[in-house]
Amino acid sequence: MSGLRDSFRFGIRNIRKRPYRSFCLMLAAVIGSYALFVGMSLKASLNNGINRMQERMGADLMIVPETSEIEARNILLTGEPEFFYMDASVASMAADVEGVECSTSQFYFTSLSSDCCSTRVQLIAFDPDTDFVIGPWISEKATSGVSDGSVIIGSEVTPLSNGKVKFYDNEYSVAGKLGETASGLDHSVFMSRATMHEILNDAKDKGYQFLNPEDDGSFVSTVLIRVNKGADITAVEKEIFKKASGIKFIETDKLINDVSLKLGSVEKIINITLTVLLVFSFLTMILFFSVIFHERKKEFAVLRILGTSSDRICLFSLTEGITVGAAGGIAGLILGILTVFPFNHYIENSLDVPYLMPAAITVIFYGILGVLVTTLFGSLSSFLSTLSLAHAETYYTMRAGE
Amino acid sequence: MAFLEAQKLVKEYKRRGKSFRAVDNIDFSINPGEFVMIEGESGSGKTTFLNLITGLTDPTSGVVLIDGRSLKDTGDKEISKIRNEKIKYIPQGESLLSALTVRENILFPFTIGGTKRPSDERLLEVAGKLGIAELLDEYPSELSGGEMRRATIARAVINKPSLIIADEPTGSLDSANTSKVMDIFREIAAEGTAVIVVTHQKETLGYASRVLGMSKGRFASAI
Repeated sequence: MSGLRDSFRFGIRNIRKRPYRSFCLMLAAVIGSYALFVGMSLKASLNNGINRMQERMGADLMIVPETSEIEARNILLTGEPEFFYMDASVASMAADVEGVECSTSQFYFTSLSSDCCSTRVQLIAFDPDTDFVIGPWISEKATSGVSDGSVIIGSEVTPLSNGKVKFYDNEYSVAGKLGETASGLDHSVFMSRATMHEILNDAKDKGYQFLNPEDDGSFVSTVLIRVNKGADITAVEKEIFKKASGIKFIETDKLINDVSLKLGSVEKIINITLTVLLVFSFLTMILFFSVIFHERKKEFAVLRILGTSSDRICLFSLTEGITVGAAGGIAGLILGILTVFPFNHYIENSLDVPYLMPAAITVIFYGILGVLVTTLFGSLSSFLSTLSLAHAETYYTMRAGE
Repeated sequence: MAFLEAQKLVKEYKRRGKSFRAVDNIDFSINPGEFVMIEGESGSGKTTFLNLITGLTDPTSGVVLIDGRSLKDTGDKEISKIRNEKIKYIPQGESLLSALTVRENILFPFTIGGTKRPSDERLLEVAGKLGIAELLDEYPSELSGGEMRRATIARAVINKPSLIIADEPTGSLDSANTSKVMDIFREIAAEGTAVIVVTHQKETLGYASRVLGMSKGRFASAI
């Protein structure tokens, strides 16, 4: 006869016979496992997001209109569709500045919420000939580059059922989809200047005028610059500033740093909350087990009278602890999965920082870790709560339990 | 040879800083098949004595020998095994495990000891004699005090152990059930089991082969 099997069965019977107490104990384990899974997944998603964003930021410097710095940051960080522009001459001036390795320009405008997709998306026209930013993101699945009349969609943009996207009542074929960037650009649609021209015309027909379509070549929203290796970015900025007015620079390193700082505070909050909840979970389990076992003193004494060794009594309670910890841990994990995955976008929008779920294996690891930790909490708290009872003289335990 | 022997057994407690002897220098032995009843006032040390001879509490001095071996020199696992297989102790009050049915309670010592379970016939025979055959699948919370007591007794007698020690086993029973229980003890003693019963009920003393009176921690007299 297996002692472990019998201990497990006896433990389960005790748990089932005291459903309210078992539920309270499990709740403590649920909180621990849930906090661990959600907290670790959030942290990993944030770190993953900022790393991916850093990877994907091909430019060192962005030039934007003086009054549109916030809007440009919004596009990059939150995907909030914006429309702004400046004179296109800035692009050619910047390209000639010493220290600039390459530059390209983009034009930003927006779709309607009734077009493709459930919300407005950012439309970005770029120049495929000079582009060094978007090309590297195009996922392996994209077989062709962007041609006139077709678009490339960000990773979060879902096309219509026919595989096309629709803007201002006209459909455009999708030439490719970008890999995830964890930035607002995941919600954007990219196209050539010629396609932009078509869309601007359609928009004008519908009564939405961003620019006079004839002027679309005279304006850009941003100029993206990559500087030579070792070049002083501030010196490059000064040089450009001498030639152009009404502009503002966004250094991508600084942008990443700003985001990292924000991320640091979010991470701090997560760490504190996680620690508090884990400590709470463990202490609650110890408290509950101590109270429950204290009330069950007579039962422990009876077990001793019937010939159960101290070690075996510890095993009985350990079984209860492991079962409650593991069951609560699994329940917490399920709850965590139901929070993290369906509310992924909500969390992303609420935190307002780059957010990208880690690989499945990492998520699975956090899930297993959560269940293991609460199982450990359960076993430790039940074991510690029993230790003194199991080794006390049975006569006293019996009298104390009466 | 005596199955159980106690030599100069002393148990001291402290009450308000003063020590007193609950069991005071007792010598005792019981042979297989003997039915000993111990009678005495509350607080005379009967229960402490029973706990000492079952190894549930340690003596201040003196020795308890089981089958010639001192309990002092026996480890926890071995004492547990002895209690599981050879000595069945029926403590005062209720001692059924609430998470288990009556049947599971009666068979529980075999579960934890890993020993062969008695047959269903034996289980029904004992349960029948004690009038609890209909209650085998009930939980303790569904039983009356007397029914619980009889289930506890069934758990002790079912495997015909070497020694049964019962602390007021018939305290909550009516006279008919008291007779049933005493008959079973006498029957099992006749089959070779040593039985020690502590009681307040003088009318049951006639069942014993030896009766001891206890007072102030000593066996005052053989009644």
